[in-house]
This record gives sequence, C-alpha cells and structure tokens, in this order.
Amino acid sequence: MAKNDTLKTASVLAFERKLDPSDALLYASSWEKREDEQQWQPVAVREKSVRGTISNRLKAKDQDPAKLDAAIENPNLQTVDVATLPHNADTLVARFSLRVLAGAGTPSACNNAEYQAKLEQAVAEYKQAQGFGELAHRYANNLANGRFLWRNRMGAEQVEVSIRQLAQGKAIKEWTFDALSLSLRAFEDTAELKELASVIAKALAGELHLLLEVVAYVRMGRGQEVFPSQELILDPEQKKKKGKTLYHVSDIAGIHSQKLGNAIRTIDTWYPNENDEDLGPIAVEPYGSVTTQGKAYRQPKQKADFYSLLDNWMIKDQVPSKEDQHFVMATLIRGGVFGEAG
Amino acid sequence: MSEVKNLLVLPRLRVQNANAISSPMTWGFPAMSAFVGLMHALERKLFSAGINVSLSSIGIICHDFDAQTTEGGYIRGFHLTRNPVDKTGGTAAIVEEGRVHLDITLVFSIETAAAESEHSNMAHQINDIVAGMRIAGGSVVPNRSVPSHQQRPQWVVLDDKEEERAKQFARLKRRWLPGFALTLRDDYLSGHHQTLQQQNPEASLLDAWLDLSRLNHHCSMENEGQPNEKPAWQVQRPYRGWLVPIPVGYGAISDLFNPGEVANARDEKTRFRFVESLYSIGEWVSPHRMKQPEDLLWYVDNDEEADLYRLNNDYHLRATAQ
Repeated sequence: MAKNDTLKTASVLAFERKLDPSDALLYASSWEKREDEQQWQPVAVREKSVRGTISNRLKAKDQDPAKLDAAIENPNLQTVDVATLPHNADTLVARFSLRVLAGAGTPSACNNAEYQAKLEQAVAEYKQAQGFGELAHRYANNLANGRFLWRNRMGAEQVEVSIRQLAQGKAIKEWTFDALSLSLRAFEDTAELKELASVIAKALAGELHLLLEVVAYVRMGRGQEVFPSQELILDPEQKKKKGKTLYHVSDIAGIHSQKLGNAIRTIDTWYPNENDEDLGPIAVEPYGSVTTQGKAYRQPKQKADFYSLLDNWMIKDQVPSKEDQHFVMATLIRGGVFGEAG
Repeated sequence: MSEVKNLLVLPRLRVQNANAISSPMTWGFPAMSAFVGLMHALERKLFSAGINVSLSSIGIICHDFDAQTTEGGYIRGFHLTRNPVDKTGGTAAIVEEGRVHLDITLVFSIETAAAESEHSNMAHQINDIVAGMRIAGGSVVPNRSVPSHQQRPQWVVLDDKEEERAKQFARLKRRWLPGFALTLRDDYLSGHHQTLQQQNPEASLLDAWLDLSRLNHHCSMENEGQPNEKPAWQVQRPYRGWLVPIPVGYGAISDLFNPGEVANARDEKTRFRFVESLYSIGEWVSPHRMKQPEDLLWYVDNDEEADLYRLNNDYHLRATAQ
C-alpha cells in the first residue's frame, strides 16, 4: 500500500469495552457444601473503630523523644470498614458474570471516516492473520487462575473456579479449574482452557453471544478477613468520618467491575523489558502502567506505547510486530477514548 | 400522540454503573434523553440485524436505585475510580464520574410489518441485543434479584376495544409493581411560576424550578394568642407527589452548522449545533395510578423553528383533566 500522507488521527476516537464484567458479590459458605447456593450467606461490610498508634515515619525535627512521647500519647482513633467470613464458614464465594461483546476494533465514536475505514481494514487483517485465539487464551487463563480475586487469592488454602456458559439464563457448559495449580506468571494450555478460550475467541469475532458466569470458591478459614474493593472518596468532610469505605451492593460486599476487568486483561507480556527479567504479565494499558509499582512500562520514548504503535500502523503504514499487534488489539478490546486533542 | 398499538416490555433489566450525572444542574437518575438515545441506537442495531421494527416512544419504570455516593450527612460525594498511572508513573487526574446501579423495566411502543406469530421470537432477539448494549453508559448484567420468568421480554398487542385494552394494561401494571415511572410535569412548573408571580411579579421560571426542587420550611404560630402558643416548622409542599428536577432536552445557543464545518465534532456526516440543557419538573408515579400506556411513554417533540430539541410525555394532560 502506498504511504498515506493525508490520513490524520481522528480527533474523536472512542472504543467501548468488549469484556464487560459485572461486579463480583461475595458470599460465605463451607467448603464441603460450596456448590449449594441456598447455603451461601452474604458477606456484610461492617464498621469498626480502632485506637491506633502513631506509626508513620517522622520528620527529623519531630524525632525528639519528648515530642514523640507527646505524639504517642495522642491516640490515633479511626473508623474503618471491614468484611470477614462468619465463624461458621471457611469459604469465600465470589460470583460475577462476564459478557464478551463482538465488534472489537469498531469505534463507538470516530469523526474521520477515512481513518475508520483504515482501522477496520487493519483489524480485519489482524483477524485473518492472527485471529483472537491468542488473546482469548490469555483471558481464559486469567479467569481460570483466579487472578481477579486479588488479595483474596493470596494465602488461600484451596481455590476452585467454576465457569459456566449461560444461554437464556441456563448453563449450557461448565468448566472447573483448580486455580492454585495454574501459574500467575505464565499462560498454560490445558484441554479445558482451550475449550474456554475457543468460545471467548468466537464471541470476540462475533460468531456467538457469550455470557459467562464465574464463581470462585476460596477456602481461607473461618472468620478470616476478606477483601472487597475500597471506595475512593474525594470529599474531605466525608473522609474525616471514616478512614476506609468498602464497596457493597445492597448490603453484600463486592469487588468493583473495573478491578475484575483489570485482572482479566492482565495479559501483556510483550512490553519492553530492559534486563530481560521475568516480570510476569501486566494489565493492558495504553502506557503499560502498573499502579502498584507506580511505573509505566510502555514509554512513548521507546515508541512502545499504544498511541505510537497505533499511529505508526494507521498513518505511517508500519505494521507492528505480531506481539505489538496483539497489544494494540487488546487495548481496543479494553476500550477508552483515544482521540488526539485538536 | 396517536394511540399505541403494540408494546414491547423488557422487564427488570439490571444496569450497572450508569451515568448518574444527568445534566449540569441535576444528578441522580440518568437523563431521559439517554433512554431515548438507547431507543434510536437500538432501532438502528435491529435494522442492521435484519429485524425491521420502528420504535417511537419509550417508558421507564425504576424498581431499584443504588447511587454510588457516600452515605449519611447532608452533603454527598460520588464514589470515584482510581485510574492507572500515566506515562510518567504519576497518578492520573481524577475525572469526576457519578455512577448508579439501576433495576429498570423498559417499555417501547413498537410497530412492525412482521406477522404476529413472530413477535415473541423478535422480543427475545431484541432482549439479547439490548443485553449487549450500554444503557445510559451502564452495562446490562444478569439480574439475580428476581426469578427468571419475571425477566422474560413481552410483546403485547393492545386490543382495539377500550375495555379489553384496559384489562391488558392492568395486567401489565401489576407486573411493574413495585416501581415508579418517570413522568413530565411541565404544568406544575408553569403553575408554580404563576403562584410565585402573585407575590413577586419578577419571579422567573428558574425561581419556580428551584423552589420546586427543594423542601421549603416555613414557620407558623400554633394556637396563636393563647397561653400555649408556640412556633411550629412545617415543610411546604405546593403539590403532592414525588417531584424531581429533570433535564428534558436541549435548546440551541448557536446557528446550525453544516457537516464538517465545526472542527473536532463527533462525526462529519451530521449537522452540528451548540446546545444547552433544558429543564423541567418530573414526577415519579407508581404505575398503578396510570390509566393508559401513553401515560408513561416519552417521545421526541422537537420544535425546530424555536430551536428546541426536547422530549415530551403526556401524563400531565390527563392528570390535570381528572
């Protein structure tokens, strides 16, 4: 194809997310009777007030012993939200649904018809050459290995993930995985995972409507603390009242859908890696950003970020490497507003 | 508005993270324009899926409302999302987003040339397509709070006979309880405006709108002139019912530009105009108070000569006639 000098990035360019999880709701159950839904009890979020101590790092001028004693005498009172399993249940049940939508690569808003046509052509070429198999395989892994449980997965004795394919409200297929036997570092390839990946790939390609119900059973011990999502509250007045607010939906503790989405799309192993260390997959983000590390792995300087790759592909006709194509497609599936400010 | 012949009911949709900031001045339930927008988008989607129907009006019944805000106190704050770090590794700016979880029933007036035997099948297909769409920016997720037989889409062909029609509607209404439907009360706004003008001739419609949007407390003396005289505070409510300020559409604040004339517009095929929100008063009415399906249906009622792009609902016409 001839080099296209006239094509410009659309100033309005937005994509809807194609992997659409619901919030996960948390229930408590006992491991032996985990599959009996009638026995599940909702995990409630309750408040507790604690008398804390001053333990933050002190500035040099405050390190004078007299001052420190004075500070320690002042109790650090705080009210926080907490959620635990009840004392008669040892298993956390987290349940959510995941809708996989077709039309990856079709923008929901784009004000440049030529650009859109180019984009659709590139996506069609990708579909033909690579298909959604690789991405679907990785998404399937992240469902099966229970990564979406985040801190609830750590220190768990046993984790079982059961995934059902729903149609008209009924399960038509079911897969069960032992989540702890699957690695968080690598993507594995078992027969069951292949099956799950193939339905996800079909749904992404638009060959089928897909709604998955994911239920994770986490054996963590009676009365153990569980970790629903924390709410971000900016209002300083409200913040003073309570140090931590946990998420709940009609009095059942929950994990935000955004957080589940982030775990499911933690598939990016293609980012540039200076020392060739094995850092494991990171979430698909335009700049490869990892919040917990405060670091962006795909720097625009190295031309490894989404925008550089997309612009090179669309405008300069430099087709990125296979790995980077996967990354660009995964970002389009993630969705977002990618237009260029005019 | 012509009499509605067919109704398509999509019951008890659970919508997650819908937009709760309905306009620059109101928050809470998503703006009605979001649902009318859904109707247009749905019609186009159905057309490309080979289902030829026309949708002309839409009604909403809300069964559950769970705004993502802080609880307690007079001042509410939205629960926001912490976004991934930016390219330098610093925290990304927080864009305020109001989110709400909804449990709603959508009612469309629908017309089609297809045979009646296909209706039920079409209703299921439409339900599937809606499940993959955004409603007011929120996702449709499976609803666990009601049994699945109550979530089946329904296509109702309304009878021509008045009596039979009333019976059909009564059956529908029962299924919509408990819930509240949003209706338009333009009449309250203009009525209250007149009341205010009697005291203060300069009172504007905005004063009337604000006055209806809040609770006014006023003080009066109980047992005046007697030994047990005491002041009493009362809430002043000029009208009964659950009134809310709502946006009802857009008014033009610029000329109408040709496609592509304005830089960075959303698309280059549609004419473009800058607008601002129009406001009115809405009332949440329990469906059992409604006399006919038209009471809860909203439709587009643009007045292009007056440069108004607005939505309308006819509930108040009948409510005042009673």
